[in-house]
Amino acid sequence: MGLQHITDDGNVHWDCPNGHGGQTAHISHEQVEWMRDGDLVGLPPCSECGARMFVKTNFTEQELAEPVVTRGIHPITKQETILSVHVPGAPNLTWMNVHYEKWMVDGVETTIQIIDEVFQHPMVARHLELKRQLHAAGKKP
Amino acid sequence: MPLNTVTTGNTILAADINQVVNVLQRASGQTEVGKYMLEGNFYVSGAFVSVYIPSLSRGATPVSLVIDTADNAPSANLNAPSTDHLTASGFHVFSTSTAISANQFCAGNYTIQY
Repeated sequence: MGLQHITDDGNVHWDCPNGHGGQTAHISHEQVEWMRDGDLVGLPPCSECGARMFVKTNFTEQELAEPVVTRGIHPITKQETILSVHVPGAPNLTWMNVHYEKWMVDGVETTIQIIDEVFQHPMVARHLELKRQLHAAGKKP
Repeated sequence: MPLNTVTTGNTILAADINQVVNVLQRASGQTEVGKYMLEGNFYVSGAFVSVYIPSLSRGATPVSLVIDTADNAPSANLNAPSTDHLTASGFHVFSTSTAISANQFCAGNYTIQY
């Protein structure tokens, strides 16, 4: 859930959470609107079930604090990699791509996790872009 | 999603603990689902009714929220519900009346996305 896509010309795409498929609206739609707190943006209800999505567009600096990534030589693979990730902000707003490798350690086959990439929750950028486009279009809380 | 109980005498695995941790602090991509109900008596048209729904999860920041009125569509003199103040602690559901009236209500499901 959350926004699946937002185009440069203001078309917003999301999925009905009750399985009624993709939904689309332009930011000029009257029901693409700020809620009272100026934090959430309401999207038009699903035409089939009436479920309405509200997306969060305001995140605190603390929630979005950059993860601290430590790189170095992995003690088992002997290759440079990400050794640790410390997330000072909201733990679910930092995503990681990982894969697993099997290595022999002291004669025992051991599975280790390799972190390939650390990045921000993809919804955050989309929702902040929605906020930016609404402001640019003159729709303000 | 139902949680697994741990049997006395068995080894407690990380997955056993994490199934609880992932309810109390939702991981990326997870959802929390539940029910809400909004009801009020209105002394004037445009009167406000609201309820705050605390989430089970704390510490994880939600990115979106969906509500429906699947259990009870809004009564004749109640507007469709809206939400605001979505935080790591919960969210606020509210609506307004369209006329002086008693026992106006709506109810449904909520889904918080993390």
